[in-house]
Amino acid sequence: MANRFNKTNSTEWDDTKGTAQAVLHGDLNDTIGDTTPPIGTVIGWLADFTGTPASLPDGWVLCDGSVLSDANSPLNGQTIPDINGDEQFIRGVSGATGGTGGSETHTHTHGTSSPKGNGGGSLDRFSTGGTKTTTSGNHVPEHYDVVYIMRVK
Amino acid sequence: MTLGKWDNNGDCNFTDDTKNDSDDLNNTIGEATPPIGSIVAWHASLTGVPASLPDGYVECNGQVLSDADSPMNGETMPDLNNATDATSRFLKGDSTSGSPGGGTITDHDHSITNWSSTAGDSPTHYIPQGNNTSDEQELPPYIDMRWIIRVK
Repeated sequence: MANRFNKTNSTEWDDTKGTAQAVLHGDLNDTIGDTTPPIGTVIGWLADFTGTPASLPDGWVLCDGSVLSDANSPLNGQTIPDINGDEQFIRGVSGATGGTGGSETHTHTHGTSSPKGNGGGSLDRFSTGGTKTTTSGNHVPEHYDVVYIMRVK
Repeated sequence: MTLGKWDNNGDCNFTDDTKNDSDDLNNTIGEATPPIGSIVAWHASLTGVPASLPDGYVECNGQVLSDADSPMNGETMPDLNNATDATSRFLKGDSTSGSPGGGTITDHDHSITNWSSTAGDSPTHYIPQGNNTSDEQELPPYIDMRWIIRVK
């Protein structure tokens, strides 16, 4: 990829100005297209970090559930996922993207037993079996908040 | 894209100095794009997203990379997308990269301490017993995306 525009590396190079411009322009677009994340890419952005520019480059939007209004984007009119508002992690799938799930909390179930007295009989006021579900507990893993953004054009 | 290193008074004049301009362009692109080995998420199924990846990116599906132009040629890409190992993965920061982990549903018990009951108590008490009988994985809120990696 490097030195793709190097005159000595280009078999298509022509020293006439017009052809040279055409080759360079095409190579430039190819190289940028090959190395930059594709349209639809989602990456984390440290928006509130000191020194981070306040605005996004043209071509990137917040993943905030908005309907995209940009005639120059192939995603024009699409609803951008609300990864930030829904406070989601990103999970990898080889199938369809965009599905959601999971939760911040969970409960689970344990069996129960009845304690026995010295003589082997059941004590009063204990259940004699069945299952018991725990109270709800938070299980969000260790994390660091970022603002997710998407390339749209 | 801003070509910050393009220093030719805004004009591109193809003279014998062209090679320098080319290097500046290459440097600018190289400095502004994520490095080779970068992993980003890709919303492949969103309407309007181009169906194919750029030439320098592949999906992280556990495949062996066959690309003579990539320094990773012949390497097995990580499977982060539930393609071969039935595992949809999150990414986690660490000082070294490449180790999978997590996903194990651990057994655990509940205990009772300093607990007493006297005659006349009205509640029914339960003694937790044995392991967690629920076997579902407990996932945080998530959205499914395709992990892709820049390979050249």
